Amino acid sequence: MPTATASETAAAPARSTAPAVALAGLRVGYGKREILHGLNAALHGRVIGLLGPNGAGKSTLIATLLGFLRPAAGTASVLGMDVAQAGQQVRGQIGYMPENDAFIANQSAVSFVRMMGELAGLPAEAALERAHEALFYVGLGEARYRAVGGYSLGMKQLAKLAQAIVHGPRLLILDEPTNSLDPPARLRMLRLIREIRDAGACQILLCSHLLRDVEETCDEVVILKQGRIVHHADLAADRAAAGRSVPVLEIELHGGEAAALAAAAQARGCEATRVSGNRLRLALARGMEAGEVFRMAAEHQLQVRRLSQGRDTLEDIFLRAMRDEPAPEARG
Amino acid sequence: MAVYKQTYRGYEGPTTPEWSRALILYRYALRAVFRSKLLLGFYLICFVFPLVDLIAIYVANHASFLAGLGIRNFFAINRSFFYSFVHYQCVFAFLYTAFAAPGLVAPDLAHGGLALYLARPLRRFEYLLGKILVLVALLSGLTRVPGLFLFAVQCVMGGAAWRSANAWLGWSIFAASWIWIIGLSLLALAVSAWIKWRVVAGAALLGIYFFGAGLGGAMDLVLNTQNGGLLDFMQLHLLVWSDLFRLAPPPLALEREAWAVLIVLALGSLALVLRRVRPLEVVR
Amino acid sequence: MTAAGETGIVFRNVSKFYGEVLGVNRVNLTIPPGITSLVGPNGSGKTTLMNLLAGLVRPSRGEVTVLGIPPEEPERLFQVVGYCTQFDSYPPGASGREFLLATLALHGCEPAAAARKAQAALERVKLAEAGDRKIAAYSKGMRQRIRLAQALCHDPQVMILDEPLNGLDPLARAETVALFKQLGSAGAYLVISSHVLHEVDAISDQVIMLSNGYVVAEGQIHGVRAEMREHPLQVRVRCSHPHALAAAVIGHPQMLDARVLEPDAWGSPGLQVTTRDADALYAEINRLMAANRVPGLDIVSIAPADDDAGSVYQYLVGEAGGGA
Repeated sequence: MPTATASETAAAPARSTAPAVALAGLRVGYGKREILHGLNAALHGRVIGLLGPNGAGKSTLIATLLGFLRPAAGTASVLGMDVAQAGQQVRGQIGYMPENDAFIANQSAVSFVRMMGELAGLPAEAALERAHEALFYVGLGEARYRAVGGYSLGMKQLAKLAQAIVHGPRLLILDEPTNSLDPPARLRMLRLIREIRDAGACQILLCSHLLRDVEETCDEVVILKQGRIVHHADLAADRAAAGRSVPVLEIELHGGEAAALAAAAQARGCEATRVSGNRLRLALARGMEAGEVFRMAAEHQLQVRRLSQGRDTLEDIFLRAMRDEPAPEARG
Repeated sequence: MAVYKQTYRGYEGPTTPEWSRALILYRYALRAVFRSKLLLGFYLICFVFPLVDLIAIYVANHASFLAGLGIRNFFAINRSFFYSFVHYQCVFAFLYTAFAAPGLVAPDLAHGGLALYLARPLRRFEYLLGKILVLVALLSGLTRVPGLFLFAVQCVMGGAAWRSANAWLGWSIFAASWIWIIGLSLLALAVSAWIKWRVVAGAALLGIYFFGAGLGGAMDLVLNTQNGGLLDFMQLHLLVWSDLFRLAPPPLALEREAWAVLIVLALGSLALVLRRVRPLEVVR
Repeated sequence: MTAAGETGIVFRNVSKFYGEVLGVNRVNLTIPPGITSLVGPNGSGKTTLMNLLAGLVRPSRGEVTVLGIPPEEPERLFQVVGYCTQFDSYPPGASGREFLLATLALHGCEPAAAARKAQAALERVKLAEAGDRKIAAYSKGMRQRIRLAQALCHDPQVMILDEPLNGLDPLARAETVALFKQLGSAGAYLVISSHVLHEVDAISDQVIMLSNGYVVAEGQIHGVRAEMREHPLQVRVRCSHPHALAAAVIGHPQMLDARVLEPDAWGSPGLQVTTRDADALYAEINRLMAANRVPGLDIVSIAPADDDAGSVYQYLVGEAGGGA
């Protein structure tokens, strides 16, 4: 969206005082089945990742925030507004990009996005302006004048994103935004998400099975399992904390046997485990620095070709969270 | 000098009042309907019959003109005249609806678009109101408005005597048209909501019309009953209208049943529409 | 598990046109056993290639043989091939088990053996408990898994899987990948199409990259990358003093470029070095660190920056395809 002033670098994110999403004892069900069993959380991040296996309740939670389902007990609020009491207001501040195909056949993208903007409350002329801005921002050029029904998958996803941002919502809910996109389109979508995040005008709730995508964009992560929150982490805080702990290194060696280095390291008080081939995992002894490893390697005529901090990836965290509970019946 | 950078920005300007949102749907749907030249042409053709009737009213009120042509005893403009006007014009309206209505709700449902509508500050009934207003407007233009216009012309030309005798006809025309408009709109919406493909939905609507009549007739023959007329959409309305226009009732006085069936039909269509128009579909 | 006459999967000068529209053009490939990933933008010919493999379409020119069987012998071909499409369709009203039993019956399996195989397939994809529920009631991930099950229930030698991990949650992904690896190491041929390139790196033995109907690269990613000499290797070093490191390495004649990077999510600054001789660069870094020639330099990570499927894709396929 063009700003009318000279450019500035991405401003620091403006955190609203109310959390993007606040859940208190939330219970939601379909008919007789209860899906969400008492969720409690306050989500503040710029981009919040919502993860969990299929059937854990992610879609149910999103449907509740949008007001499609009524809570059986407890409350859910978005940006400080209760979704049960102030549903209309809440929806005016939310932009939703569903996982499935969602468009209206036989309408051009401009007409479609414009109508969506008007329905969210924009006056007609402003809606047309912002529709074009949104379509330009997501990268739909001349194609915007063609009917959405004829678009490729990638373009449909972009049109979906455009209709979600046209009315300038303060919370954007993206459900599997990179689904079925080919690699360049996927990178572009992630870039757009990061740009929206950095512009600071809105917070994002991102729901995805691709943990890499979540790692690259999110600063807070919530993992649902069987209708309960099993993990809620602030990735930014986690990363800061990780820097202060005893480093674990993963190295790949070249030019000889890794075992020799492993033995030498153990002699110096480190823990060394062989991961595969010539890859080692070293937990350094207290006071030892990474530079020591290079010296030890040189002593054994080995070269360190790869080095990385053995940090938990989001996938590790996720799999651990899944396995901490007893095995469920037919998962899916 | 400045470099203009594209970034995401929120919207801080004025918003439209909530009650006007249904009208947005109305506007867009109307535009979509008239974008098709075929439908536009069809709509205009539906005004031919009222025009013919207009000429008939003029002619009937100026008997001298007729006398000059050597014709006597031209038909009188009375309740039967307006009854048949409403009858025929409503048939045209039905045909038009069969072509125009399917495109109303089906495209929204076919590709998951409804979730997008309802994720906005738009309630379900506002969505339906917007859609039904389109049909009401179109059908009013075809039935109620010309009907009342003809009535007004006749009042002017027919003189005070005619007016005092037939003033109630105006209300009859009004009511009869409205019954038809509402019943047909709800039925068309229900069909459009349940059948994804426009052509099939249109055919279904026509089918209900003709099939009902055929089924009713067959039922009468086979089961030796007299109530077959209740299955015929048109027949139901004719019965109700004959009530409204205070015409001699047909041999089988089924007015009350007709009213009842129409009400049930309208409510049933509404229920069907509500069942289908939901943001979430749950399959268990 | 090799049988007499089995010679892998071979494409010899294959072209496929749909009228005037190009599917694939002059493809020459030999696919070995193991996991082969098919990568490329939408419209690049992946689906055509998979259909050719499965015998669903015949080449306009050239010949395809799958384990020695040409597509003109569908009876034999369909016995050894299992195809899992990307389309979310299934027989309406069927339960998972019924779907599998029907598939097995189509393959000529007797009822007793079919029941056994259907159960085994359900267990492999972890749908044993849900096997008797209707597929229409399955979640998206479960439908994906039942499609996978029907592709492997008749124990084919060749499995063609179109985006098989689409819609699966991370745990199911990990389990399915483990299943693929198990099948691959048992000697089956798995041809998997995917858009998620870091997964392609993690699971494939080799990669076939398509663009606009042509095969632009095939083989192991590291080998492919090494062949692309017009793109010198890039190595990324996250360290405390990137400028000092740059000054120390740039003197070497094979170094082409040293670029200081923005700090990453953990706040480490970095240096990206482009070099014609990666061995020399590594040797230089190791020497530097061992001899402490740059005092105070703390290296957080060293890794090749572009030796993965994603980078190779960028170079070879670029931004073509997809998007507006």
